[in-house]
Amino acid sequence: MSGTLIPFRRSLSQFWRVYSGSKKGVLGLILVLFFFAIAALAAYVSPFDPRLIDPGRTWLPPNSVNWFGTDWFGHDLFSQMIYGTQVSLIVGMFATLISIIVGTAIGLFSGYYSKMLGEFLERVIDFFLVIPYLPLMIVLVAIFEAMETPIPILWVIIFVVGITGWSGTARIIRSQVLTVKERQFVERARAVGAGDFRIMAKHILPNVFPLVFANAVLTVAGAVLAEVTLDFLGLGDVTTISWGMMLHFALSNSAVYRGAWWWIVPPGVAIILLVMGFTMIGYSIEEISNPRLRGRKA
Amino acid sequence: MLDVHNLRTFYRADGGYVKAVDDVSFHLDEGEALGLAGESGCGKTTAALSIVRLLPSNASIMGGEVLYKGQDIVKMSGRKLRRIRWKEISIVFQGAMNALNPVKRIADQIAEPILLHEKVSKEDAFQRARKLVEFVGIDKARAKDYPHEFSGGMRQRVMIAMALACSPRLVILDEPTTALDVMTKTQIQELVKDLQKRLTLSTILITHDLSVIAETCEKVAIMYGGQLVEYADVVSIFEKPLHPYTSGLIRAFPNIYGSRELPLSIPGSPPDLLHPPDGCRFAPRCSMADKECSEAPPAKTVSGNHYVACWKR
Repeated sequence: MSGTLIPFRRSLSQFWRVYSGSKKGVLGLILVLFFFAIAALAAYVSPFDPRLIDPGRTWLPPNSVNWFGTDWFGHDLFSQMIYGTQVSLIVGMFATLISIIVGTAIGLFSGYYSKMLGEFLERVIDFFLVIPYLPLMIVLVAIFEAMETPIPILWVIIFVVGITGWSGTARIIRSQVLTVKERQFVERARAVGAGDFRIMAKHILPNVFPLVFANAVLTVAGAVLAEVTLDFLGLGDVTTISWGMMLHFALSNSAVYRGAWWWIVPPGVAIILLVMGFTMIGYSIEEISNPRLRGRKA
Repeated sequence: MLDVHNLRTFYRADGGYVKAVDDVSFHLDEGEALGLAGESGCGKTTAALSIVRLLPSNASIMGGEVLYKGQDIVKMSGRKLRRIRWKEISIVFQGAMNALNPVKRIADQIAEPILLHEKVSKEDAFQRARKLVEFVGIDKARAKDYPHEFSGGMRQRVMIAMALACSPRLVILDEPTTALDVMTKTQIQELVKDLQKRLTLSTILITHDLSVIAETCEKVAIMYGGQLVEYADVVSIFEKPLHPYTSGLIRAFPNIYGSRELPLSIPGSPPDLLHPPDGCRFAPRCSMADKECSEAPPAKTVSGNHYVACWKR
């Protein structure tokens, strides 16, 4: 039978035993936990206030005081890197939460109701899958910012990233729901007297949940990248400290032209490592919940 | 208790209707056990599912009535029907392997109908679920296990426990022993007999295996091509089958006391229910068929409760 339906009932220790067998998964987990630790302990590990401007120390390459050097304003880039982790993780997690909730709900409904509602939702999913998400995000952020709502820009970005990133999840959930709902236990549940909502929540959702979970971790990677992109393009809040904003200022201050590689490489590498970490975790979970993807070990 | 009159259930298909159940009538008394037999595709399951209107979306009841305690289930509102299902009539589905949700504990699944139909606390429902598990002969400590940890026979027991959850009066068992080995089959048969006796349940047992019916039922209805061809008590059916199809079915079963010959099969294949033959549907395969059989045979009462639909009797 379909491997994704294998119950996620293994207790945590059992899950860990399988998970820890995957080098990719363990490496990803280490990377992600490392960034979480930095974000949580930012106030303790950062040597300087990331907003502190020292006019006497600008454009300095990495040295014994400023490990990652300084930028044009005289900010300590190492401290900025550390604080920037927080924004990436916050946006990544919350935007994913929105994406996953919306994606799972729409996937469930569009798969379960195969008639009018399902068809309609399917078209909505298609629409969101097909439109290029970057221009859409730019337009949405611009609209929200133009409305001058009292909502902080960070939350606007979370919302926009979340609301544009659910379509892949919805499609995957939908396809799985389409097969699960044809299984006999669903018919039995209906015979027993369960209504549509109960069947969806209690019978179908638990069967597609491993997919939701694996997909969530993968979505975080996309959300982190989307946030960096928006910041880089200057759509974020210029007063927050984030990796995307560092790249944004590096670009607008001609860091490449001036040869200030230390202003560009650390955020770039950090983004890659964080995205890679989440992706590796996501793939490992997917492999565990779907044994067909799992390589056989002697 | 249950009266089915002229039931017709058709499936929509390309090029017309598949007449899976065409003009079927039978009657079931309180505490009675009816066996519904016939080969694959003869409409047994469709007939039984029509009783509780649990049909696939492309099937519909085109006519007739299903009177349960005087109320017509065919015309009943969805809400009322939901109250009758499981509280009054429950089903043991075909294929216990697939009728259990793989990610939910057995106790949760048995408790589900109780929670849906009765105002009881979760704790009470689980308590009852555990009792039911024990009742069908499984260690109640195993109620917290998942379906994949059970064997085929145990899953069938779980399905039976689930059917009994709301103490129904009528249980429809759809092929409860199919795909089980002989030993397990016997155990399930014993369980069914035990339930009939202890709970004074009425049962409708659907099977293609006449031996199961011989063991567990009092009345037998033989179906062929969507129609009832013979209806009688178990003894009469086996002692003196009247319809050629019934005798064919019985002959197709090896007799342990008889000679060691291969059992006879019935030549030909079941009719296409999209375009069933006019007249007697069994006629093309029947050795006794003649001109008379090109018209639909009337249901004849032979003696007491023995009906047969055949021109030759």
